[in-house]
Amino acid sequence: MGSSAKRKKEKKQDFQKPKLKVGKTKPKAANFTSTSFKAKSIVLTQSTLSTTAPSLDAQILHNVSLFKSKSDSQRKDALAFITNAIMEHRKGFPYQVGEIFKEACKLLLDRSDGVRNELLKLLTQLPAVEVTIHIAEPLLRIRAGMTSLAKGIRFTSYDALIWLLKSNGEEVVSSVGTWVKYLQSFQSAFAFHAKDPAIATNTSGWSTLPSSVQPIGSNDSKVLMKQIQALESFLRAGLIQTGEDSEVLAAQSAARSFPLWHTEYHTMPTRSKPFARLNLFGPPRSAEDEMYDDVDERRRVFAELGLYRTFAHGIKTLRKQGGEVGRAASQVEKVLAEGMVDWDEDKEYEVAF
Amino acid sequence: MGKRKVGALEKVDADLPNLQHKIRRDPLSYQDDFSNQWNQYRSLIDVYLQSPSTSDDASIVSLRELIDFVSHVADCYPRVASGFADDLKNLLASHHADLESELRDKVVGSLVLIRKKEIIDSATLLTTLFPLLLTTASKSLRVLLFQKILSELRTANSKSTNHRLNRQVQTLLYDLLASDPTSPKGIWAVKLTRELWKRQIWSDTKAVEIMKEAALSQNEKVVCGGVRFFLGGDKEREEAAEESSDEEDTVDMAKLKHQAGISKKTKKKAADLKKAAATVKRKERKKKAPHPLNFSALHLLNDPQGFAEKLFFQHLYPQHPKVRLNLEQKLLVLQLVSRLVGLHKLTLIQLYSYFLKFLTPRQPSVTSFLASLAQATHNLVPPDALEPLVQKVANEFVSEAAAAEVASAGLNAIREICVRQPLAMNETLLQDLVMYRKSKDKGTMMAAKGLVSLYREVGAELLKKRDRGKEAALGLRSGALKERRFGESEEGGIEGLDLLEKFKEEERQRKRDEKGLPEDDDNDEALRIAEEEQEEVEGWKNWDAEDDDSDDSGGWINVESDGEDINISDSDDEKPPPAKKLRTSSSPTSKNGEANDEKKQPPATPDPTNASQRVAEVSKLATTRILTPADLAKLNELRTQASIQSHLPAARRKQLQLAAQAAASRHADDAITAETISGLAALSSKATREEKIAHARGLKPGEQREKHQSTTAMRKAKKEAEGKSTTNKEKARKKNFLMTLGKAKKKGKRSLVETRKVLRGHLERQKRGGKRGNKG
Repeated sequence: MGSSAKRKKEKKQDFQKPKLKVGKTKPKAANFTSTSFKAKSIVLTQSTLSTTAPSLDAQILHNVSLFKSKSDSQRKDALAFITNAIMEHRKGFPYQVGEIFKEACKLLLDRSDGVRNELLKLLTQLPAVEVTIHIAEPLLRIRAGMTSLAKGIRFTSYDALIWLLKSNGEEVVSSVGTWVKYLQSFQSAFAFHAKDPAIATNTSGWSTLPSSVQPIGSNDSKVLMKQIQALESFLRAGLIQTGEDSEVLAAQSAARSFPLWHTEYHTMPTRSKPFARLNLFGPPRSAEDEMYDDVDERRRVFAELGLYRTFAHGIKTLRKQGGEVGRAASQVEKVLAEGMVDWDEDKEYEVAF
Repeated sequence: MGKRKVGALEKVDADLPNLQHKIRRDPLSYQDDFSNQWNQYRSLIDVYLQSPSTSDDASIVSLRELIDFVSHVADCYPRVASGFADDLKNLLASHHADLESELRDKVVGSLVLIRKKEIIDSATLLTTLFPLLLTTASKSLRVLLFQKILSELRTANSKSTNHRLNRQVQTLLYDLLASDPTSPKGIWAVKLTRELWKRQIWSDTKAVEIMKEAALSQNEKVVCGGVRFFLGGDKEREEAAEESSDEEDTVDMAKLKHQAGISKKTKKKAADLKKAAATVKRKERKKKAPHPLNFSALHLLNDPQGFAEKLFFQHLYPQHPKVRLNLEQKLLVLQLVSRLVGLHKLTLIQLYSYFLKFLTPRQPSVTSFLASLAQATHNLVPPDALEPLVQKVANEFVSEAAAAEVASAGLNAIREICVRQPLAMNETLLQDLVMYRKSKDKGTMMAAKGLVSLYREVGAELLKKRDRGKEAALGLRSGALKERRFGESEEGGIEGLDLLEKFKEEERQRKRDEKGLPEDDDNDEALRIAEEEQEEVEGWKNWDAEDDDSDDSGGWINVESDGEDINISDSDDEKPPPAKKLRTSSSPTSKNGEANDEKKQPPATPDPTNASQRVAEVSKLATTRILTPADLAKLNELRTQASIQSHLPAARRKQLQLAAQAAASRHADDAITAETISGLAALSSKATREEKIAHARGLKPGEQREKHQSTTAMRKAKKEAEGKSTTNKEKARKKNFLMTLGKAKKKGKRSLVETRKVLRGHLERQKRGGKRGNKG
């Protein structure tokens, strides 16, 4: 309600009808938005018309570059294209699969679910040998994803980890800084608490539930199941000796290339970062960052850092929950028992690092 | 996937700010969530460190968010997040060049944040940030770092001075300047020190030492920074202090109280009022607090002679100095050197011959050179060094052929030099220059007149007889006005002490007359001493009454009463001898007659023949007894009285005296600028009409009047701004029209009787002085 003359005038203006005159264009509304645009030429990407379609090589290159695109759907489509291309041209694939793998791994922490699902499809199509060399790339990101706040990312990360363990299990657990740090991440994700006096005494607050009952995202048993599954395969890869002893293997390979001596040292390495163990340029490593490429070493660290006891206790509690989770947990327990069968908990081991 | 019911907690869990908020409320329950995020942060840092330059956007964004999150809650989990500070420090130290800018700023901000949460101490923070400030190529980062460093130092010194940290940082800055004098990085030391000096956080010798080192460095920017600090740093500090004290008076307590009485009373409003009262009180206390002793940077200098010499021989004297300074920068350095020389009365003989080649009217900004020359002059400069300079100025600037501005500037410069060292002038030159008194140009004439009046005081015999004036001629004849020799300094004395003594003598005489005692007696000696003591005790008693009542603490009063006792005992011990001495000095042969003669002398007539004797007497009075506060008060009164009386007859003389006072009151710390030298030239040309109008309006040149308003409106606005109420007339004028309608309607229908009643009532009310009257 305007009282002043000015307000009244303003109000009056609102209700005044614009006078329309013959032969004149209609006046524009106050909220009129101009949608016209000027362009000298419209450039269409990929509109080159050539008699031959672009080569597969060029298409792959283009699609790999689209991995960094801002739009979700474009990234997803690019991944799908690459997957199809690999499936179709399994023999003569013109591009380094390792490079594609490296680029694709950056999408492990992608915010869009669709992209991540597509990525998992791509990963399953990759040959294990190509992955081995670039294994450091996904490992860090998977570990970051395992404790992410977003459920979808966690889910993808566990999926990717399971796949990676399936294809390159030994390589995963024996690369730099993986074994201990992954175990710690699992511990934190499951909310297993070590028998730590500081935490044990601190739990006087009424809001603290028994921790192993409520791991992260507890109301989603799907993620929990994935998590347990991933842990199982991780422990299996790390604690249980697969295949022959390394000495036996070495002897076999020597026998195969008999007249030649130490051939493997003169060929291209098949592992990623073959000299990482020497740690030539980095800062001195702590126990967490060290690489453990021997089963016995891994077992020793597993026990010595108190992780064995923590995991055994936590898994037992999980198994008691019963149902699907309990069944999966009992699988893990089995692996633990198998892996640490000849391990004497009370025995003192000298600290080697 | 079908729709599933999600708990409220799960829905919002996905954002870090929410988790952060929850953690802050209950850190214990969210320990697991924190350790999850911590792990994620660690792995993302690893991802980043793997290829710092080629990281993708998404991981950088999430890393930034995680760093923000962890820095906000790190204080809740000191054990888990123990490596956080080191992570950030390393990240910044080794990757600041290729960190994405937003992430980099976040890292800096987080470091400051965890400093606020006292996870790291200030020294760690500053030693992390400061090296970055020097090395980084990014301007935005430098700005950010500078601001953070400054605010950190301010907060560290806010409650009490953090001497340890200050010393650490000052040493860091000093080393920066001293280690590599040629590098331009020293500018940061200069900037930081100047800013902290301005805010009065650093006001000690160490800060001045830093600036001294800067002024002697070998990079022109650093040199200029250092020199400018010495020339303008103190003024800047004063201005900043004034500004901050101006800002403070924003809370109007009376208004707040009034509002609190009217508006709804809530707890919040009561708390607000209390808070406002507390701030007002704090400000009041701050205002009453003793003024901090702020020594000017020039006074805090250690070894000013060495500094001035180094400055001069490094930057000015050599033909090809290590640092190439342009004219403006050279002038700055010259100003500083001359300021130092003038202020501390240093001896730097080469400086004067250096000036010689610049003293021509064609030299750009020659007035600045002249001002510097005047500034570098003091009474201990050998006249031989100055004489050629004065001669050159006179030859180059002051001639009939020269432009009016040039001549007046030259004369003014000569005057400024001669104020400080009168011996720099010789007779023929002075008499030549004095002739310009008759110049048609007003500026030149005034400058020449200034020179005459100066030499009437300090060296009248150099002037021709007819130029000396009455007072100087009399002084010369009586011998009171003597030329001061080189190196001679004025004797210290208390102005008006002779007046005080005369007054005391008169008082004593008056008392005697009242009591009916004979004029003066030998056997009265004891009585007289007793009288004196009595007087002195009285004088000390007045101490409290004369003191202003500014301090209200009881402790002070006690101390003073103690002091009183001590003084009385002192006077008991020492009084008799001075009294005797007084007598003996005034009348060596026949005490009776001589003393009487002296007392009968009229007080106001000066007696030049007796002067030396009187001087001796006076000095005794001051040295043999302690002047009581009452004495001092009387002394002051007598002094002003005497000066007023001496001014009374001649208005012209008074004006001259005032001008001299103004010149003398210019503090020794104040610099002479080019404006002082060229100021009189403004008199030469007539002001334009616009200038006159502006002057009449009280506006400075170049300033515009902001708004056209009637005088009434301006007055009204002023009144309103002062918070004063309106008059009844104004209220009546503003009264709503509808409210007046009823009365107007009724007015027309009144009967004669009613009208009469109203009119009578009006008259009566006027007599009474309004409705309520003027009583009480």
